[in-house]
Amino acid sequence: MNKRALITALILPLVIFMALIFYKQAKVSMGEEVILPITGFDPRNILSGHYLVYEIDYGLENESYCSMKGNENAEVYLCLIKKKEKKGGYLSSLDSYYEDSDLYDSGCDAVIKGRCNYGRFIPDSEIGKFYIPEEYAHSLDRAVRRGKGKIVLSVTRGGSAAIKDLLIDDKSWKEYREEKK
Amino acid sequence: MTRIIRYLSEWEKAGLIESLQVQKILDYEKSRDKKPWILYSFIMLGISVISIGVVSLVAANWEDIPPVVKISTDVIIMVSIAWGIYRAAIAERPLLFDALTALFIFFYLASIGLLSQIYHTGGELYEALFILCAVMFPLTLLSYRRFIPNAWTYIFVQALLLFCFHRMDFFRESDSYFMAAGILASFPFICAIPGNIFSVREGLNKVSGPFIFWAVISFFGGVFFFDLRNSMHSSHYYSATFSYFSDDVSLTTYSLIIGITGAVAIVSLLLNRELTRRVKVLASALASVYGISMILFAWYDRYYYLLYKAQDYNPETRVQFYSILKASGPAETIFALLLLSFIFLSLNMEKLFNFMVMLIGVRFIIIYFQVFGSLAYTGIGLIISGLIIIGFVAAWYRYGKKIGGLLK
Repeated sequence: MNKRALITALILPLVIFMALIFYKQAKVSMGEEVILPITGFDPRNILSGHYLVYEIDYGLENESYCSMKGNENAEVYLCLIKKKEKKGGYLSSLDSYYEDSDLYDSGCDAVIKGRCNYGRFIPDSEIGKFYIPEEYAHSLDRAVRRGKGKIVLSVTRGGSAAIKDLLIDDKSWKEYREEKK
Repeated sequence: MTRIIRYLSEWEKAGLIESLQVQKILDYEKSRDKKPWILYSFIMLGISVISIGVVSLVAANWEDIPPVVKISTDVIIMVSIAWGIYRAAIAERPLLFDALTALFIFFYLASIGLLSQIYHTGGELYEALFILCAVMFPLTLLSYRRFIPNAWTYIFVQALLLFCFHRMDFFRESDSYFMAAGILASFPFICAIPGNIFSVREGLNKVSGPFIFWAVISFFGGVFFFDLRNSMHSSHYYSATFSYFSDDVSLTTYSLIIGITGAVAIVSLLLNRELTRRVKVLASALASVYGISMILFAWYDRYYYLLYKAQDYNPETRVQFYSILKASGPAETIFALLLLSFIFLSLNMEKLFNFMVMLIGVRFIIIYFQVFGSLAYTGIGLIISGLIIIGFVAAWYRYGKKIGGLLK
């Protein structure tokens, strides 16, 4: 067997895997932290186990940019501006796709890149699932359904988002679970 | 072994070989150690079961273990398996090499699942499978026996299937739906292309056989789907396959995908050195019949739906259209199976040839139950069909050698 070919064949998967880890970790570590309320339910993934699927409440008005005629599939940025009052959440708006730096200049604290689909904003980043241990799936699902859930995101300047944590009653889900024990 | 003894006994009786030669052949066959194959199969089965266990273990989500520890342990195990594979290759231990490679592939899949779990990225299963196929392809080509190439090809085919199903379900967005439907209908071509191309080079040919296998399997799937969909039509029902879309939806993308992949598959046949000219000609004819049927199916389906929707069309047109649609299913199946039976005959695969002939017979029996028009029409149709078959076979026996000679 060709030794060089063998070493290449073995190193390739390892290098790709390490690159995946660094890419995902960088997305989580380098962004601006954003907390948004959610509602959802709990299915199961064949490889990664149970997860919560939820809908993020971006705080958009019903008549947003995406609901306007002709904007189906349009690429957009979600602009999030922190409310001044404590625990005030965000003021959100959608804008058509242009330089993200312009959005920051116009006062956005964070922007999430996405597209319009059936009148709704769908982010490009995969932030619609949160993996949880099987044993807590039911209780966490119930809490999220009751509107107690929020998702902590890390949003990079380029508009990409990654999940950092799940909050129940404004506490990390692990703390919430400890309290419920 | 029983078959060898039977053949040897027949040849000895016919005076083709001496009893001494018979004994020598039997001694040789007995001396061949069959155990490694059995051992190989059971070890691979064991590895597969262990791997499913590992995936389940990862999926259990051990929240008390910090993510850094989980990932570090995962990487350490992966590097250890890779090191084990390297040592097995150096020590020239094929069984160990293949077993560890299988473990490495499945463990890698579980590791992708672990990453999704830790970083909460909601990717699709087919995406993980495509990544796995891409990074494991070189290692697959270095494996010794068939399990790894077969498993790799199976994973690739599954990934492609899942991709199609995902795109076809995704809000039924028309462009994406028709592209996925085109890929799904072209599955035999998509599998036949690498099957033929990879047969050219030593090393790459390990995955050639499995691809051809999936090309044949998906061909049957496509033919039977086409047949069922068309012949089960009732005149008051329209198929949902290409419905639910606005009236101006174009089937061009769908048709182009089938046309292009079909043409490439036929060209790739020329590269295949293992097939005779006759098989290549028959396989090209088969690919053309299949491709044209799949394109016609979509256009018919769509047209029928539009007719159904319009409501004010001429009922006579509808009946004529409906009859053509209904008859196209069995016609395509029987013709395709006939071509396939000739391919198997040309490859000296007698049992598969007989099986195809049996399937053609079964399809004719089903026609009787489906009844086209009235019983009298069906009866006349079947009698004519039977006469055509007998006439065809008689002509084949008479002129078969001449035709075969032309194709050689």
